[in-house]
Formats: sequence, structure tokens, C-alpha cells
Amino acid sequence: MNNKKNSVAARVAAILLLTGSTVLATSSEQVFVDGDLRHAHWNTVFTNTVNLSLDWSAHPDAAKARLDISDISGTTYTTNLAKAAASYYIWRVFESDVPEKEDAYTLTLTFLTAGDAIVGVSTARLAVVRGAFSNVAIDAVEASTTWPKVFNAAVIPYDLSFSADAAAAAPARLVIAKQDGRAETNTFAEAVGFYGWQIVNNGWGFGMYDLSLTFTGTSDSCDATVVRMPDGTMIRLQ
Amino acid sequence: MKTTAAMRMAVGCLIGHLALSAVAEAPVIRDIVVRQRWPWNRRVDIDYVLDCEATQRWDVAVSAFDNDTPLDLPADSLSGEIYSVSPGAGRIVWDPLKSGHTNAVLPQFRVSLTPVPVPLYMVVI
Repeated sequence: MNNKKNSVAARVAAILLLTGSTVLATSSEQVFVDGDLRHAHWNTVFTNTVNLSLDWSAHPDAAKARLDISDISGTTYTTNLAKAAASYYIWRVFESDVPEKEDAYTLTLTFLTAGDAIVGVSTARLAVVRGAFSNVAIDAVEASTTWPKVFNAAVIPYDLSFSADAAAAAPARLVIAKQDGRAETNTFAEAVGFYGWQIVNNGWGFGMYDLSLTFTGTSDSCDATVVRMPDGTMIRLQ
Repeated sequence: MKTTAAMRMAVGCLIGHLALSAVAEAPVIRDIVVRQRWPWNRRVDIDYVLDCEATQRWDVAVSAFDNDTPLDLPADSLSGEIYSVSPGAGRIVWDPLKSGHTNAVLPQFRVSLTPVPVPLYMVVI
């Protein structure tokens, strides 16, 4: 009798050994975890709704949160969230299946006590780019007249991999300088992302602009000259 | 008698193991983002995520279209994570200036990415 029990136990043990943990373990759904932060997955929207998680446990003193989402025009949409409500917030980025325009959003999630004291802030940048949803226009014309033109707003990519110098190992800096005046310097904490340049109603005006993307740790840079001109005028850049 | 039972158990385990292997997820490429590097240069970044078993490696076949018209992309116009790619995020860079599409505007550009098995080579020494 004892021998028979031992034999069954041995068989079960053998099966478990041969089939690994598959017999007993329950697997979660597979999700993509990106610890590199150097991929479009981190800074690009892939669906017209985005599930934003709210980590209340990291802020035990928080009683509420405020989510501010600013678009490329500088318009900010604010949502107040109660602690008991949910551990996530579903952000409806755009209504249609395909976005009508590209945009770059800055998200700021502020955790507050009942007395409105700030106990934590999380920020993120997310861009909506057409090439994640539909066909895109590619301009390979070296002497293109349309390439350097900028209209209302522009979503400008920055990426450490744009530098040919492997020594580039720190976030990029984007300088936008109007040839006859104003200049603006933007530094980025992320290695990869998109900057939303709002050129209309933002004090920039018409004219030629020099753009320079530099990388810490190297003298390498990406440079471009773009032009914003009144509607209906065409000029050609050399 | 004992030998027969042991054989049956071993065969059963082997079949079970093979069945589990057979139902392993097929590789999938998703979250494709295509974007030209305006205003910096004419190169086109093709970002993607490859889902497959951790130990697997796949080549990525790139097909490009302007709307429904197939485009010929020479191999040397493509760089990045194309061959023997492991699971996770990857990027392929297409340089249109190294293709026959120099001086072309492709208003409806899109790509199709397909995981294909890495070819096996016999090395004769």
C-alpha cells in the first residue's frame, strides 16, 4: 500500500518536473514593459483613449488629485479626482479613429491633501502623431519648397539616436531662434520625445527660424532653418 | 509491467510538453509608428514592438506602400533593428535619399512589418 502511494507521488513529482511550473502556475496577461525609455511607446499615443494610472499608495497623505493636460496651443484641461473614485483615469485624447492633427501634450498629475497641500507631482509628455494611426506624407525632395515651411504649430522630434556620435548620452536641448530676434531654449529630461512648438498667437510672428538640437556630451547637433510666412507667399530656402 | 507504465508516463509527458510548445504565441509586431524626422532630415523612423518568446529571434521584413502602390526599398536604405531581433521595442530607419524615391513626395506612405524566421546558415570550415 505504502509502495503504491509512493509510486503515485513519484509519478506526480515526475510530471511536475517534466512539465515545469505550467501545471500549477497561472500566468498574467502579457504586457509590454519598457525600462529603456527610448522608444516611441513611451511618448506616443496609440489609441484615442489612454488609461492613466493613479498611484495613491505612493502618496498615503493624499486625499485628492488634480490632472492638468496642456495641448500644443497651451490650453489646459483640468480634472479633479477624488481618492476613493478609482485607481485610474481614462483620458479621451480625440474622438475619431484617426487624429485630425498632430499634437503634443504635457500631463501633470498633482496629489493633494484635504487641505490642498501638494504631496506629490508626476509629469509626462505624450504626442499624437499621424504615423501611429494612418498613412503619412513623406517628402524626399532635397530642394523641396514645402519642407522648410511651418504653419500654425509643429511637433518636433528629439532623440538621442539622431546624433551620430555615440558619446551623446544625455538628454537633448532644443534652441529655437528667430533670425531677427527672439530665442527660446528647451531642455528635455527624456532621451526621446516630441516638442510641441506653438508658433501662432505666441509672440513668434512671421520670419525665418534657426532650430538646433544639441546633445550633452558631444558637439554633434541637428540643425534646420524653417520659415513661417503669411499665407499665400512662397519663398525658397537655400 | 513497471517498465511499460514508466514508458507510457514518459511518452505522455513528452506529448504534453510538445503540445505546450506548439501553442506558444506566434510572433506579433504591433504599435508601429512611422514618422519622418522633420525638420532635421529626410530619414523616416519606423518604431515597432515585437512580441515573441524571450528566447526567440526574428528578422523583420519591411514592405512599404504609397497608399496601395508597393514601393521598392533597397536593403542599404534600411538600417536599425531588422535582423535577428529579440522581443521588445525596435526601430528601423529608412533613408529615402538612398532609394529610388529621391526627389519624390509620397503623400500616403505606410509600411507593413512581418516577422520572418532567421535563416540558418551552414558554415564550412
